[in-house]
Amino acid sequence: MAILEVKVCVKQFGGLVAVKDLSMSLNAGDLYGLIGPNGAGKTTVFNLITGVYTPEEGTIALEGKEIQGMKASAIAALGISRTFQNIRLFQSMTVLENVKLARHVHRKQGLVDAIVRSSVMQTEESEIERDAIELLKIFHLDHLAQELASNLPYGSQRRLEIARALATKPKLLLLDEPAAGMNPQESLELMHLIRWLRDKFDLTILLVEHNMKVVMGVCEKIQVIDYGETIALGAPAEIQDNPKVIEAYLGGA
Amino acid sequence: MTNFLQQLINGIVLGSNYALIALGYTMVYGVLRLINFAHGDVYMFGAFMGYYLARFGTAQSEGSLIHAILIMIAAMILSACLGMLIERFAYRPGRSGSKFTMAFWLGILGAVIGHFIRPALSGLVAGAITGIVIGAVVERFAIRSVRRASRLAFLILAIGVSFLLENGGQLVFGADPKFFPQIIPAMQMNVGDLSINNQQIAVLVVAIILMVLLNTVVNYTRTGRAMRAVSFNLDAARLMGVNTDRIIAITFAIGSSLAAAGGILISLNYPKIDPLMGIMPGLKAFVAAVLGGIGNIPGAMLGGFIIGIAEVMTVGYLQSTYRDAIAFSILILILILKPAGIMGKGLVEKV
Amino acid sequence: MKKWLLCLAAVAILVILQLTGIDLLLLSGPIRSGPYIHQIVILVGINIILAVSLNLINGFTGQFSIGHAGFFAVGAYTSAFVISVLEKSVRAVLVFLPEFGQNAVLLLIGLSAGAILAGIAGLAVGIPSLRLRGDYLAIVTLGFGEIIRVLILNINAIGGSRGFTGIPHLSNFFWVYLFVLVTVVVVHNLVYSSYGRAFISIRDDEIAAEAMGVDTTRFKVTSFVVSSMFAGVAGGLFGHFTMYLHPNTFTFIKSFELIIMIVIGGLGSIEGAILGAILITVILEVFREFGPYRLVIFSITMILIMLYRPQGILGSKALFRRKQKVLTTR
Repeated sequence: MAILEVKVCVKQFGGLVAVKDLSMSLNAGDLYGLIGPNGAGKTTVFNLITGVYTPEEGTIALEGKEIQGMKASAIAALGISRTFQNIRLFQSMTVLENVKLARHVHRKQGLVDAIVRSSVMQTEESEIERDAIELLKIFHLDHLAQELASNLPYGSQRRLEIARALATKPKLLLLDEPAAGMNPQESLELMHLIRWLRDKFDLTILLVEHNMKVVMGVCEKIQVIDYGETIALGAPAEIQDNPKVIEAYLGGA
Repeated sequence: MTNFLQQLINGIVLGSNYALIALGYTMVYGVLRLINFAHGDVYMFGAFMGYYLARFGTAQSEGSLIHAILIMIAAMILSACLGMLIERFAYRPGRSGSKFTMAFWLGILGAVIGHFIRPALSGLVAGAITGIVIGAVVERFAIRSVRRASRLAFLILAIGVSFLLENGGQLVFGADPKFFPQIIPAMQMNVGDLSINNQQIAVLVVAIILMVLLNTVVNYTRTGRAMRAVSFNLDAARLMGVNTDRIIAITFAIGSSLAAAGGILISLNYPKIDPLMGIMPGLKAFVAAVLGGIGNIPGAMLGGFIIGIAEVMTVGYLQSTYRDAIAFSILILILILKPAGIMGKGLVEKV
Repeated sequence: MKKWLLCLAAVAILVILQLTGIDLLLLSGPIRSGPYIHQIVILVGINIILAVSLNLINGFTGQFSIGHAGFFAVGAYTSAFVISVLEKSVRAVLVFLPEFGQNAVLLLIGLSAGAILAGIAGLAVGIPSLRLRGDYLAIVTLGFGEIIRVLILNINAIGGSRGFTGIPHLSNFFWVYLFVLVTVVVVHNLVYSSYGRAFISIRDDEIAAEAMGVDTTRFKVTSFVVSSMFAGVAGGLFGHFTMYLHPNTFTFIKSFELIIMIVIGGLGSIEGAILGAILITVILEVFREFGPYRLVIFSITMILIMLYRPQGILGSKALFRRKQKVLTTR
């Protein structure tokens, strides 16, 4: 069964149809890329999948369960997590706290536990702390654990956002332009990281990206959209030579 | 039925009052995206200016129309000045920093303390000068410029200005209510069973004239175009050469003068004025602005009338003790059902 | 854990002593410095409870609520009313306790009622309001606060515009400051837990918080309800101290006072809220002899502070900058 099944989705903003008749099917373990020229509707698709928007038509199903119309937090609880195009870290929190927050969705402590500092709460807090530091180690951010998130350099902030997203223990990870603002060396490292993450954490990864090197190098399947519709779908090699894709990016000859 | 129509007329009169105040809120929100909490107190200021001008301005020709109009215009100008002062020294520093802010506020603080120590003009002046000097010195040597204020800080700042005007009013004008003199001879007209008096007609006529004038200015003048540009996108307007600081000051001036007009007009019908009279009407006018769609000028007019009519109907048909609650109830309803207001368009946040 | 138990035990003992009427430490009599100072000290305590609870929703969760006086009122009137109805029967049942102890039990009953009803009010206000943002939320909460006040004004059973008189004097220094302690501890523990992180994440970036699995609406409402319950407790303590209630005490001016307290102290800082409450209450009292000049000077000071130091004395988020290491050493 596909892990994510998007069928015939339509999303409108006032008069503008941002996403038209979009379908997408991801299998578990896929490294899937979503590309298209600016304004094609890629981030809107992300927002639809993660529950920020509700489609006017169509369905979105995670492991067979329909999720369109659900709250974003509920969808996150079911196993979808994401990063953002414009980094959205929690500015007043430290690096460590940002990651710890993401464990909230799986918490066992109740409100009363928190207030009385019961043993349930205290054991869980130690666990959360331990796991968070482990995660930071993977991203080489553990030495910055007590730094305010807003003080980090750009590249580290991006990595932190990914670390935070992973802390929710997702099945499906959506990365919104993770390579934005990275130099070639950083992009190369990112490519390795993404592949490694998929293997180590048993994830499915959906990627929106403008950096073609990264897309072609990482993704196993690519879907190209323009004006909210799919114009091509296939392996990187096919997409690169696809005349429709070339036209969409460069405009007609 | 006639009772209903009578209430309707009363409601429209009250509503035009709220509309005039609401316009100020909506215009300022339009250009600054901030709620000027102190606006209701400018309304109060206008009424008091009218009061003093009428009482002590001219001894003769009492009751003439020209006299009344002059008083109103003078009060409007004075209130416009107040509005611009507030903008310049309270709100602009939080936006783009400004000089002499510290000197200004310490000057006022000094004047107040000075007058407290010595309740005479000399105390006031001495205190003011001390304050200004200290302020200028501190500004020059100790403090960097004012920080860019967050929305929350701004709201509290506005509340502070509002407090200042209210308490300052109590200090300067005295806390007891005063009675606005009759500057238009009272005359009652009867159409069938309905009665409408001179004051009410004056309110309606003046309010309509002012709204039409405003509409003309906003839609058919260069300044108005600049105001609209600023309300769409302040930065873009600035880049296009619009002097945004000047336009914002003008917006405040216009809004404040309209509120002052409202203050005087309402005093014709309800002559009891006191320094706290601006609080409730201010809040209700704000509700009216939100109801119509904050930032939307015709919306503010519409909202004002609706609130006015609703309030009068509540007093007439329900219970008068609920008169204040009706405006807030409408507010809550509209914010739950259609936060953008009747004529407003919602803004979507980019994710 | 051991330290906790000890503190809890000490408090429990003191409470039992109060209940049985043994007035150890003379905590309940007027403080030696005189009734006026005593009154200020009590008022400070009540304002601390109000400020710290308001800070939970405004400072930590970042939701701008300016209707707190409404919940204060609900708590005060509910407690007073419930006691007026139950006093005779409860005293009859508790005949074996000294009057002191009876008072304590009555107070606790009143406070519970006040807290519960204030919490329900918080729910009623929070659910529709908290989907709004920023200025709109502020105005709606203000509106609700006013509606509550107008409703109280119209209910004759609790005095309406004449005020509610004859409320028994049940609260004292001990109870007020016990609840100050409780409020501070509860809010502190909440903030330093997974819930605290959730609240702060909502303040920092609601969309990201939601994407990371925090049900923002539910949490905002939770924060609101906890906050309003404490305001209700403060209300009960207040009513049973002043022995008289009038809706004019609970206008939006009171709400503004509380906002000023938490902003001056530093939004998002528990210590800041305490400091702000003490400072503002004392300053307002001390300057009473300035007469009408008092509030003018106060407003100018407010303006200056908002222009030049909006983050308050202790700075916003000062609390969170401290490490959470406290939890990991166990």
